[in-house]
Order: sequence, then structure tokens, then C-alpha cells
Amino acid sequence: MVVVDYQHSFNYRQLALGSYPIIQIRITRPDDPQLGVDTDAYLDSGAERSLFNGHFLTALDIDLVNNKPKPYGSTIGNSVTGYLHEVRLTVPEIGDFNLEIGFSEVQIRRNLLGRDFFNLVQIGFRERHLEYYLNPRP
Amino acid sequence: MDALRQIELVDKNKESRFGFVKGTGAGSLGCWSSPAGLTAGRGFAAVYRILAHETVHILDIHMPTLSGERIRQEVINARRDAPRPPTHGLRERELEWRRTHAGELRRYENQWVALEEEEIIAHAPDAAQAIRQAKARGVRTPYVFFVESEFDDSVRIGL
Repeated sequence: MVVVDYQHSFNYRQLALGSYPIIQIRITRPDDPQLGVDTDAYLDSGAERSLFNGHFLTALDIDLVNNKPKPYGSTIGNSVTGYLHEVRLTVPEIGDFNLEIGFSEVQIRRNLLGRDFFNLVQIGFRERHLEYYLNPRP
Repeated sequence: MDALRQIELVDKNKESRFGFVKGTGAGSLGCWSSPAGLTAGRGFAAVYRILAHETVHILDIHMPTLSGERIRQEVINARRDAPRPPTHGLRERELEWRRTHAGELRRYENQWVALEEEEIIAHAPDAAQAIRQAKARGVRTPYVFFVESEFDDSVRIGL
């Protein structure tokens, strides 16, 4: 049996519509940590890659459109284009992570942290308790 | 280095055993066992939780000596059920404001909001606009989030 002893516990965020595994993160430019924005991201174990609202690149003075477009498909077949940009994610007490994230061409309401982020940490969910757990190392 | 603390463990038969535990903080969990022979020929194992500086609450106690796997399982169970203090987030003050001012936030449904401490410094239908407004007010790293409508009862599945 595999046993993981988690160091950090987070409560799901209680919003008007329910409780969600949301994490607050800081996104900065890897080459200039002064340019950044704090926001909420939903932990989405079903997402193969992370996808953020492209408008957040405004805070980093980065042009959305580059030569790395990537279609992000939904379960019903529609897709949105995300442009891949390397950014630095900071989670207090957990660490800093450089990650190539897709930033959406269209506005999306929820920033999604997917399995590419899960690959950088150890994460566990306890839905019944509305808690999730994190360790800084995978 | 962790300090060792001597504790007294009393089993169901009111027999006392003394042992040493690592001097970790309140809320810590641990497992302690004495070798067979030390306590009148019987092994002894306990799963404990340190409640305060000098108080140890025994969660489970076993005689004779339990198998290593059983002790391990007891520790796992105790750890699983122990309340964990939540880790502090990035914007605790803003989160508290959001918790206590949900009604006020409803005015900004379907908008992106920039919140600094207890003040909404910008709001706009698109995130870029809210970020620009917040930066124009001198906030170098704004906290920007979307306020979802509470009347939208659809089930969300990521994208």
C-alpha cells in the first residue's frame, strides 16, 4: 500500500454555487518577477494541460499570440486555442514552479491547473471533507 | 534536532509504562512501542497525539505487541482522521473579505474584480481591463478573480 503523508492542507473554497478545489497562485514572468498577477485557479485532474485566461498576460506584458498555438478540446468536441507561454507560478509555502501554460484566445472564466501542474507536486483530494492536500515534491 | 520527552502511558489495566517520544508540537501524532521484556515480558505499543505541551492523548493502545503492519495502519488511520490546520494562502485578508462580503460581491457578478485588502479597486467584464485599471492605481501585483453568477445552476466540467 502506498501511503502519502501530506504536509499542507487546504480547504475547498466556498462560493455561492458550492465548494471548489481552488488554489491562489501568483503568476510572474520568469525573466521579471516584478511583473505578475495573483489569481485563483481550479485544480482540474481531468485537464491534460493547464489553461488560463489569455487576458492575464496583460499583467505580464506578454503578447498572447506566439508561434505555439495549441488546441484545447472539450468533451463535446469544441476546442479553444491556447498559446503556450512559460510562466512562473508561486504557491506560498509550496514553492515556485516554471510551467508552460496555455493562455486562451477567448475569455474563460476559470483558470485551470491540470496534470502538468500535478506533475510538479504531490496532490490529494478528500472530497467528503472538502479538503485537498499538497506536498511540494512529486 | 527533535527533543525527547518522557511520557507516561497508562493502559486499560491501569498499568503505567514510561517511554520517550519525540518532542514535536501540539497536534503531532506518533507511534511508540517498547521492546518485549521491558514491561514484564509484554510488548507495548501506542498511537498517541500530543495535545498540548505536556499532554499526550492515547489514540490507541495495544498489548501484547502488535505486528509492525498493524501499528503502521493505526498510525495511518490516526493521521488520516486528525484535523490538519489549513495552510495559509497567498491573499488571506482578501479571502476573508470575500467570505464576509459575499453579498457585496454579487453586485459584480459576471465581472472580473481586482481586490486589494478590503477594497475593490477595479472591475470590468474582461480581465485585461480589470488588470490595467488596478495597475493604473499603482498596484504592482493585483489580485484578480471572476465573480460567477449564483443563478447559474449548470454543472461545470472544466472547459
